Amino acid sequence: MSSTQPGGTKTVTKQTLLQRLDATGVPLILARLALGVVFIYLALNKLSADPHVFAKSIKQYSVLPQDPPQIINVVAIVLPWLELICGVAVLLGVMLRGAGLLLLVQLVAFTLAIYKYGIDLFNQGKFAAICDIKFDCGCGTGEQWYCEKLLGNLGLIAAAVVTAWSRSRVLCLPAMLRRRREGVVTAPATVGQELG
Amino acid sequence: MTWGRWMILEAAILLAAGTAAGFTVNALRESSGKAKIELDRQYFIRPKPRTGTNDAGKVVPAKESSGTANPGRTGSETDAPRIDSLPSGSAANSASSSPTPASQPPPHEVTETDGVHPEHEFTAITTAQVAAIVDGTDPDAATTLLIDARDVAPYEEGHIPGAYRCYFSTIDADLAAIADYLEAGYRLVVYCNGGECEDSINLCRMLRDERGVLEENLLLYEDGWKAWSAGDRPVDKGPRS
Repeated sequence: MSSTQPGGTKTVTKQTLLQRLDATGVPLILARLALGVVFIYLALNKLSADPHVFAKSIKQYSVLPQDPPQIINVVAIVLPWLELICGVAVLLGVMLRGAGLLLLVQLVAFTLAIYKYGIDLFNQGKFAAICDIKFDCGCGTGEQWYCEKLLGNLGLIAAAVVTAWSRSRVLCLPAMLRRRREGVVTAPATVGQELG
Repeated sequence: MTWGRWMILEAAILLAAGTAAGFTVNALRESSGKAKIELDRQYFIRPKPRTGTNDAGKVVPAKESSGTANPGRTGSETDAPRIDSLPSGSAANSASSSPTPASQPPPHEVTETDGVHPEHEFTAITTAQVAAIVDGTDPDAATTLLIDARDVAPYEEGHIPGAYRCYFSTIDADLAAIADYLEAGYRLVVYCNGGECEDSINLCRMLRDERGVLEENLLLYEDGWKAWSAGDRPVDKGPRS
């Protein structure tokens, strides 16, 4: 990576493969597209339905305590909106670090809950193989195969990690607006360059 | 500020925005005629520890003195159906606890399933028993109410004839339609989809714990809509007329 210091001297630092890949902006754009589309879609599905039904889905995982009732109720009220706001944020490239972190936390929690739910179902002896389980996870996508859902979530977790930690800011609204304001057309910027 | 601190700050801002949006929209639901989530309300009732000695396996009749159902009447001392063997301290049917007249048929007992289901605390009844209630051959049919615990859409697609809809999220409005029956101590047969569906169990617990309906008057049709609609049985569609 080369960057220009305030004094005008140019310093060159050695980049790892991941850093070079990140600097192209491609991984972040793909991650943002995947997360943004999926989370906006899921959030809109939940928001268009009765919120009590979502509360029931949360309760069925038996991950959150039922007492006091405020815990499940608050999550049912806030979570779809948090998904929507984070989805829009990652699509626009706004507050990517925070949105990535929140999506990562949500995805890890959902994935663990789904994993536990599937294991519990399997242990009841109702299915010959764990991947035979098909159920409505309450995510807003209707019935899905258990293993496919877990794999999909793992992919989204990787996307959230990329979003939270990427230094690239290619096609991000704030960086584009800033460049336009400054009237400067440059090569794809990175946060390191912008902050530097 | 470091990368990590920016991350936490941004996450906090987004979390605050999501929380504000969620609570605002939830509060506005009421003004648009939709049921909002009440923060302090327990929508999912847990099983009650069974410490009493009530005879849960037997279903006690709820007979109206005239012998016919009359939803327009409120349960007064003279008109209300009478319930035998009330547990002591019960408030729900305290106005109707006078002895049953000698002319009244002997108490109805559920014999096919005979008892409380191991996964819940209510008496389960079979499709044949529900069919007897629907066609009126059950001796207590006139004082038995069918309750569909599913949401509006599946209810209107098809429900057991005569069933009232009562979904957990709109329970207050839905129960207003059957308040007189509840007060009069009618026997309630509650069902949902059947299979893994828990709405009927939850509704039974809500009726017992929040509305004071006697557990003896709550019957659970576990096989539910799936079993009913699988056979060649009468079905009502659309909203209840």
